[in-house]
Amino acid sequence: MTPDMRTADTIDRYLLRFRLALTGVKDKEELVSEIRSHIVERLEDHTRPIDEIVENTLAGLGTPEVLATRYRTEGLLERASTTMSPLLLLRATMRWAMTGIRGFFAFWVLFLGYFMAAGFYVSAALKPFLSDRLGFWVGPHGFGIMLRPLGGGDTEILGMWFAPVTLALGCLCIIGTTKFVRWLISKRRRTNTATATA
Amino acid sequence: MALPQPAPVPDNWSAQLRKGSLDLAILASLWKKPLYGLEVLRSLEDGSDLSVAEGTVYPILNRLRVEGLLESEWVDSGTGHPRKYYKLTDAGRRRVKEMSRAWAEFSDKLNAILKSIGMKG
Repeated sequence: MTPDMRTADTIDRYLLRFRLALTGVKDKEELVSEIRSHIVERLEDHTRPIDEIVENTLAGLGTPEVLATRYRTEGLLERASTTMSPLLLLRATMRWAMTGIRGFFAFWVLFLGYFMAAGFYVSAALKPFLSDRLGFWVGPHGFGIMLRPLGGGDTEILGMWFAPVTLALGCLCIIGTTKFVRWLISKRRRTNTATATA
Repeated sequence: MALPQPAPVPDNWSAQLRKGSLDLAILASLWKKPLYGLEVLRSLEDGSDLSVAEGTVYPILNRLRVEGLLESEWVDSGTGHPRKYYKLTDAGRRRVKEMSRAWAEFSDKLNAILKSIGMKG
């Protein structure tokens, strides 16, 4: 295999892996073409050995999988900043969490907010079956929502309003968490979303 | 008794600063004329100390295009392969002006603080 063939083979293998890693990303072929164009452009520098140029260029781009992840992260966060879909937000923040502490924070805020909302919804659904145990209890040792402490002596104050109130609290958790995380994402976009600089 | 050593600047502080300004730098590099990806990179390297990894710029260019701040067009380079040129849209030009203003305001305030403590002449 000649040096030129070896170079072409290295580039082809890189682009093939990049194409595979981009599966499901919009405008995939155009992104691959742009990276190919970039590599070819770098090869026009005739002052250095071609092997060295290819090696430096591919190192600058990152592995095909890392490069594809950057495109995915940028795209996901773009959509997530305007969505109300909990699933899309979870996917976007999970990916963001892998790139830094702020993403990690956003993911946990989202996870805890939705987890609390799920708790409220489950309580509302179980109320008809556990009417004497589930409620908003007030007693000598404070107050609490959900299951009555075994100690007794507490009074349930919501009665038939327990289910509507917990449903409303669940909705508030979902909306509040979604809006807050969307704000975090849009803040990140405003101050730039680069995942790495040299 | 040994004097306390000054606290070093955290490694990631300057990196975070660069990251935070990268959108503006990329958009601003396209202010005068359309450029393709490698030209944007060279413009950042030549016009500033913003040394940016190649794999960082292309995803950002793509996102800015999706956001409607940039338009792209493939143009034959005359050397046998096409290049993807990016240019600012009207929304992109407005964004550059807004970001430049915000950057200048922030920079002025920070400089004022540094001047007040004698860190800047």
